[in-house]
Amino acid sequence: MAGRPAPELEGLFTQAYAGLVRALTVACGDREMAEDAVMDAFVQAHRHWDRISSYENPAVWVRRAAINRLSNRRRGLGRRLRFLSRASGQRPEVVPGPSGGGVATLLAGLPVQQRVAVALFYLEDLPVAEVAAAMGVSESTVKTHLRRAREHLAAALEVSGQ
Amino acid sequence: MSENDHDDRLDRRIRAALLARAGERPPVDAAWRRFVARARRSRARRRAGGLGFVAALAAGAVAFALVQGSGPSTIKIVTSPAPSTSTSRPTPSSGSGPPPPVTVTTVPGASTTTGPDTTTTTTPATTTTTALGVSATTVPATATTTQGVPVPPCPASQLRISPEFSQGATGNWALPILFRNTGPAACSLYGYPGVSWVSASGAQIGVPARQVHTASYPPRTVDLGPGQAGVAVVEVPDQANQQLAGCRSVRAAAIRVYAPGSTSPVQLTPTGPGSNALVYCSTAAAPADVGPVAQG
Repeated sequence: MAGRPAPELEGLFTQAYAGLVRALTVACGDREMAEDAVMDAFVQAHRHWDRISSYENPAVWVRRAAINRLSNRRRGLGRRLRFLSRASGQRPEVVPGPSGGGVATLLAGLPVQQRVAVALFYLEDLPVAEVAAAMGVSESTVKTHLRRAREHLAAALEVSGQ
Repeated sequence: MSENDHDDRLDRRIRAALLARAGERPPVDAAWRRFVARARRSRARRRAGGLGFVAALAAGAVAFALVQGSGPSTIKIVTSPAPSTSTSRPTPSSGSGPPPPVTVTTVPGASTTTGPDTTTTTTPATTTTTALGVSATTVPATATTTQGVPVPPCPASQLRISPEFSQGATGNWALPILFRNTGPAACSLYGYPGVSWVSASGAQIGVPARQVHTASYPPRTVDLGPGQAGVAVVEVPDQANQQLAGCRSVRAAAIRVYAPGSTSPVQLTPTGPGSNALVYCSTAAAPADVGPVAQG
């Protein structure tokens, strides 16, 4: 028992890791942060695998854990930034990432909750019920997020003329 | 046209746009190895009790010291993802030297889905006919872009073509196909890809996908920066719909795709849910549809 992950966990990882990282990257705008959150969620799942493996759909648990990690980290990031800027007497300079014209432009202006819903629904192709489970909110909340995001995206795609 | 149709189309459009812009999925193998290493460490750390907390404190102190000592440098936070450089692929140098030779060469690993029958056309500026019977012009590839306004068309060797999958509207499988610019410079795509279904022996099954012309999403020139992707959505009637139309449904070995303006096809074999799109009508009774390549 050297902590070797169970074969079922390996299956779940192979199936879910990459897609979840991609979706959360879109949601939070930072690939590294998304990778960390998903990795942490799987490490957590591994630690409690006895319990989680008995769930009907362990993928739901992992998604939920990763999204929680991500939102905790975003809050933490804000605090760290303020701390660092005080410590160094500098204002943090926010540099736009290199992927201009990409997904960031399209989703600019959407609140984080809407981005998460959009990423899981459109990119991960999850049904509304599973998006709701992953976000820990009701289905009608997800539908509201998606409806608002849809209006925004329809306009954004129209404006970009594509 | 019903409201539902409109919503469906918008949803497909949004999905396609996001897929094209979202960047590639990270490779799983390396992540799995990192995960196994971390899973082991996390067990070890728990055994070591509170040591982790002490280590965290120490790390915090070091970080603070570094900040204090770093002087006037500014703190930079990059807010959006770095381009995925995880795929190790030989990229042509884009230095200021002489431009690379004009012949189109297939970069090893650049188009992972290229079938063995792919031949690369090196004839400059020839007009040939693609699977769709559409006239296509092969323009000599120029890999480096001068800063001028017109972006050269994407040469086949510089595109990685890959299938995505999504559930699509009722009765259809939607198969967004990504055309990713793997070259060092911007290039452009315009028009419709040629899409057909082929058996293991390479014989075409049924008819190629029909080009769908709609006023809301007309073909446009799509400029792709390095690493960016355009997307065209293929919609395939599902097996139930094929049978309703009186088809004999055949499971194709692959979907053959010509990028717009290209005469060298790649063979795509979607896996997972996308593999449903391989089941195709053996006659012209229920053809698939394909839209123009759009910017993500």
